[in-house]
Amino acid sequence: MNLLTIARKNLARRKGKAAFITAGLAVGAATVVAVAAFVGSMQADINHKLEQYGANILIMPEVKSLGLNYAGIQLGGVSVATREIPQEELALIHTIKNKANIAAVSPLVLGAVAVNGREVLLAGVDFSAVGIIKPWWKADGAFPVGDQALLGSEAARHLSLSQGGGFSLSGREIRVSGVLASTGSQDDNLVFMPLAEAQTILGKEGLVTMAEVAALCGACPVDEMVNQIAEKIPGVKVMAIRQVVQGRMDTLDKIKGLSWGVSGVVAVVGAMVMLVTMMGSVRERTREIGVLRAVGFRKSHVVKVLLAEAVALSVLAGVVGWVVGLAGAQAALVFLVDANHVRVALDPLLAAVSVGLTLVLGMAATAYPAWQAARLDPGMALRAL
Amino acid sequence: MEHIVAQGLSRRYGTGHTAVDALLDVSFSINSGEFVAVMGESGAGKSTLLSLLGAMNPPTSGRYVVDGIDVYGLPSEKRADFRREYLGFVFQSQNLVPYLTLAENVMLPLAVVKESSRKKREMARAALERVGLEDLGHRLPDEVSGGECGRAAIARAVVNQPPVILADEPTGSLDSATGTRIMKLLADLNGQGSTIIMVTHSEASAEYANRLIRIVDGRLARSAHSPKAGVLLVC
Repeated sequence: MNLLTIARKNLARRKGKAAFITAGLAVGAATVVAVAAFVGSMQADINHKLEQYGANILIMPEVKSLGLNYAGIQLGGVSVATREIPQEELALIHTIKNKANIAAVSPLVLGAVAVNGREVLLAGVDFSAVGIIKPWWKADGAFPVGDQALLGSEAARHLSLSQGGGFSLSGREIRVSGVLASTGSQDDNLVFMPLAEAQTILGKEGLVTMAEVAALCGACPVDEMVNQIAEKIPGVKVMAIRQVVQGRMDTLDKIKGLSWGVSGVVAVVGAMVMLVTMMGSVRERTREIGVLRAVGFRKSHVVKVLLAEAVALSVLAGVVGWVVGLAGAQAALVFLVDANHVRVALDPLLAAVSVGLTLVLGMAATAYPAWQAARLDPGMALRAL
Repeated sequence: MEHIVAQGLSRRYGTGHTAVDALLDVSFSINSGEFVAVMGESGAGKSTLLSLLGAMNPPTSGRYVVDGIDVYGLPSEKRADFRREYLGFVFQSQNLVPYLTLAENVMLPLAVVKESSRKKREMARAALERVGLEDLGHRLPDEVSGGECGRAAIARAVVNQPPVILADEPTGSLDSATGTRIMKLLADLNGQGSTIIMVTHSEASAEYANRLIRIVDGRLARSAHSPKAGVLLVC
């Protein structure tokens, strides 16, 4: 028999009130957990999609003039690169401060060649990086090795070539290892070969025309990475492809702000429910508290009994809120976002936050009723006769 | 030796025109082992006096000393400790906590005492045995009769063997047979050395006391030996 026995037995007797208080706090905690889990999953979803977009940083040679073209329509004034980029300089990218955020670097060498009497653009690429940079590529056949080529869909049609076919290029017999499915981009018009072979054919050994970088963008500072790369490789133009990222992140930030506001209000309402219920409970227990004081309980003992009850209900509410919040967030993801590949993580930190939140709210809501109870005149028990 | 000393105890409720003097300049002393009945009309100040003696209601003026301890000179929390160690309470309506079993109710004063659970259970069993409830310790208050609740309340009052037992109308809500049994229990406790101060309306209950204090309009009217002691009381 101790103070906890009294707290436990009282909660067991007043199951309805205990459930009401727990529900009030749990709703607040569940809202906060759901918002946190939903926003976290949305960010993960956006990151996932951004990674699917492939490169988000471009490294190009500096140009002397502005290119006069728009949406692929060339109006003259073709940009002239001051120089190609030495391939070994790209290795410096892996020495920047945020190197951990770099998923892949894909060098690209470009040059015009004649195939079967027609001019086409030959692109030399590192096919090991292409899988990360352009994950949407689907080839009918295989990626090329050695003297093999992968044709864009338009290029294959234009050159009347298909997988297994061949053509001569700078005195070399090139086999077509595959044809890319249409991408709707400039890639459809290109002939792709392994980087080293293309550099040799184009007479640009050790040089690249540009490079694409895929950065893992969960919280990575793309702008800073751009600056870091520009510092490492002087004389090149480094650009971030950020419009989509920024737009989505801005929207998410606005949703996040609104959601935190709403969940804060819900949490405070939950605490108010507990405050009112606990005050009612103290009023109901006036005689009982008087008896406790009469038989020798100190004020602090009475406060401890009430706080022990509040702790038990708060912890329960925190756990319930965590589970319900995660379930709610998962349901919201399925119904609102159409993100079947995204799953809400069972984050123990979020559980700790949920329990911590309900404990703080529960203690705050119980402090005043407990103080009132402790102030009760112990003579109340006698006067109540 | 004087066990309990009340010197000029007064208690006023309210202020100004609405002030009411519930108790006025009451002085008496009680020796260890006495059984004192406090009688008076309703509103005479009996319960106020008992709550003062119970260290629960500070007097407006006067001193209350038990075994040399100036009770209202103690800080509030120390006064709670004093209640636990020196006083046992028996209330008119028993005031058992409804969600605790009889045994747990009896252990209530021990809940804040640093003793092993086993020791506390043994003390509760012994107290329940003294009132003949050793087989009903597991029952809740609403599962036993009013008389059994009254006996459990007495067991709670004596579980930590306090030197003084304060009883407020202990038979007030009981039938006469049960009331008689409760009074015999209190007399037994007094016989075992406990000092008992009992507020009562009942002349029959007062006969168990060996001294009677009568309160009229907040003042002490007469303190005398009761019929039990062979001295007729004239007020």
